[in-house]
Amino acid sequence: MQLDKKLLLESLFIVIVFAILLWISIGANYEHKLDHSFPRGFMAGDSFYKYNRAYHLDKTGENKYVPETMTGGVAGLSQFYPYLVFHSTVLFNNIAGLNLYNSHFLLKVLYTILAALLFYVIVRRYNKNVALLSTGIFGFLFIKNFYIGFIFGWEPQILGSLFFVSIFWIMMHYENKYFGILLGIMMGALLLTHPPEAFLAVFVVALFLIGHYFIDKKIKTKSDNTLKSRFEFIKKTIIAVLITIVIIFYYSPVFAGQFLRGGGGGEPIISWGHKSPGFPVPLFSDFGFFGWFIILGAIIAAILLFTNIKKHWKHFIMPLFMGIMTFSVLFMSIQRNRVYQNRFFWPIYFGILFGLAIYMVIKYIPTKKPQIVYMIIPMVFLMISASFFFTPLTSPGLIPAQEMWDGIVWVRENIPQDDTVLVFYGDSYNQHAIFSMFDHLIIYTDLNYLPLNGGGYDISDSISKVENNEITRNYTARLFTHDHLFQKRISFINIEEVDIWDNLGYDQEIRDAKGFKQYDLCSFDYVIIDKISRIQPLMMYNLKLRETLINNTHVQEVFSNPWYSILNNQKPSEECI
Amino acid sequence: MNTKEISKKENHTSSPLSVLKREAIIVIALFMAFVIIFKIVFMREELFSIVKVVFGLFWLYLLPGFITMYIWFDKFDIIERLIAGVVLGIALVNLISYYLTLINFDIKLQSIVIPIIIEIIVLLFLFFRKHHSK
Repeated sequence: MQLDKKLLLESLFIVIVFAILLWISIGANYEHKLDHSFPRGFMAGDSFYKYNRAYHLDKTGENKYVPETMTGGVAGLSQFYPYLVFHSTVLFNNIAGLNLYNSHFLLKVLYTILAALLFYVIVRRYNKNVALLSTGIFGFLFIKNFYIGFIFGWEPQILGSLFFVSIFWIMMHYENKYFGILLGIMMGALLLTHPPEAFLAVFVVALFLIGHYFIDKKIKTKSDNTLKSRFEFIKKTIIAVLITIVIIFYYSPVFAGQFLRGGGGGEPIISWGHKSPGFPVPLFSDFGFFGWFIILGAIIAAILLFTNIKKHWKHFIMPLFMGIMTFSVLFMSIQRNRVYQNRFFWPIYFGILFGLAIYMVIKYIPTKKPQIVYMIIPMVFLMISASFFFTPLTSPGLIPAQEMWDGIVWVRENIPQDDTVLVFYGDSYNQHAIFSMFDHLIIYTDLNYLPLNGGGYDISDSISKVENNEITRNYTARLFTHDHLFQKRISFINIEEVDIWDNLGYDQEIRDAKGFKQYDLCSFDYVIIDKISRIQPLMMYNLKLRETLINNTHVQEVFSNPWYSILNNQKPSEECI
Repeated sequence: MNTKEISKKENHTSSPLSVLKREAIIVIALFMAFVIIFKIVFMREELFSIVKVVFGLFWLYLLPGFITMYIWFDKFDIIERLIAGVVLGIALVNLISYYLTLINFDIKLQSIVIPIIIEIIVLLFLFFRKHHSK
């Protein structure tokens, strides 16, 4: 078969864009290596949580329950977090054979690039040259705060956004046979990946149906008055809804009972009022001079819509709707402050405006413009963004060295689950979810925080011991759990909220202290000590603690490397100080 | 020539199965292109590791989705069917995996089995649709 030459050239262009985006997103950031020997780019608690959910699925083949190491040892508990992204990581890794955390990172980059390419094919139907030009802004998907989602562990939101973009594609071609089924499948997948984007998708579907009805007059046919043709779109949508319900049937009680109530927090999922972001968000100014093209494109789009709404409305729904949803003046949000996460895909949502502006500028240049021109220009823009806006990450993440990972893996593989483990101070432990990497129940002292932090717990006695260079038996510490509220499925429909602090027998005083209480250092089977730290007094204290414990004949150092000293107390009931 | 015209020109006299046979060569070429791209981007990675990664993406997501898109082979050209197909493949494969895991089907086997199931179902559908339309 011979591909049409133009199609071949276009295919080559797309492949080159893919290569450039892959280079910026992961190649340049991670030393052009794919299978690293320790996790890279894990910069926040969510990174560890999501990875460990995938790790648990990979290890046990079980997807109903949260790992017990995250629930304080209580078995059979669920969380509202849907599962699809964890399946994606594990299935892919079974074939690719990488270390799981590397597959975990690679896939979210590929999802983002794929969303950009899917957007490209959407715009291509409108105007191929605009679509080609719009690719010039895709580099920003991996630049500045647009990159936050990758290093903060927001894989479900990224995959959800990919499925969300696919909803636009489906609605563009909704008149095709079986597309109601396709819509149902994608909505089901979206709900099982990241429900907030599913809420947005419902609005998008509604907007398209309204547009089809009032603008295209497709639902209300003039030439054929049969009931069947008049309600064809409605019928498809009903089928889509039914398929979505079937797909999410097992998850639906958790979704209805917990997610719609704000993920177990009891807050309504739709909230009003200005939202303050709790994390670094992309700003429009991050686009630099590229932003001027977006603004120009928005003006041109407004003029086009005003002059011929029927021809243009479908293609400008994306930037209009997502622009409104993601700017902070929005007074209503489905996701509370997490609505800012949808800004990560601004280069995609606003891409058509960017391409349109450049197209209109070029259009009035009085020379012949072969197709290749519309490919060279976005390449230039991509190179500019890669050269002048892109800055590679300077830190490998909260697991900054092989030695730290080696210690974590040693704990995973060698310490029996029944043995108790205490972790003292470490620079990375302010993101508590890192403790889930040990795949073991962990008690931790949490010396990363001030004596009385905003979370309302008091570790001032531990801090004073460090300041006084005093080693004692008792320390304020707490058991690591991902949360203290989980769900337990009593029957298919009946989901009960479980407070694991009840299971642990915590009284009100301990609850008020956010789970912190006094623990006896000498009662632990293992003590994990970080040997190095950026904070000298804490590092010296750790080393003194180590020396004190090792002086006991019944305490042995069972693991040592430049990062960790792991001590085993063979007589946990005896004096160790 | 817009994309709809291109797809019509390519496919209007062909059945989806015959188109599939012709486009298989394109998919193989695409696989090799991706191996080269991944090797350039991840230049410090071993070639065998790269091949496994690209194979994983193609086997697990591209092939099931691309073959499913043959249901609409006369509506979309190959570029659109490939890209939209991958997204569809990601959704289908992982949805099936979610429910197979709920019924305790070994997740290690799913990576091999699920794409095959999807492809067989779609090919049977295309075959019987062609047979029915004749």
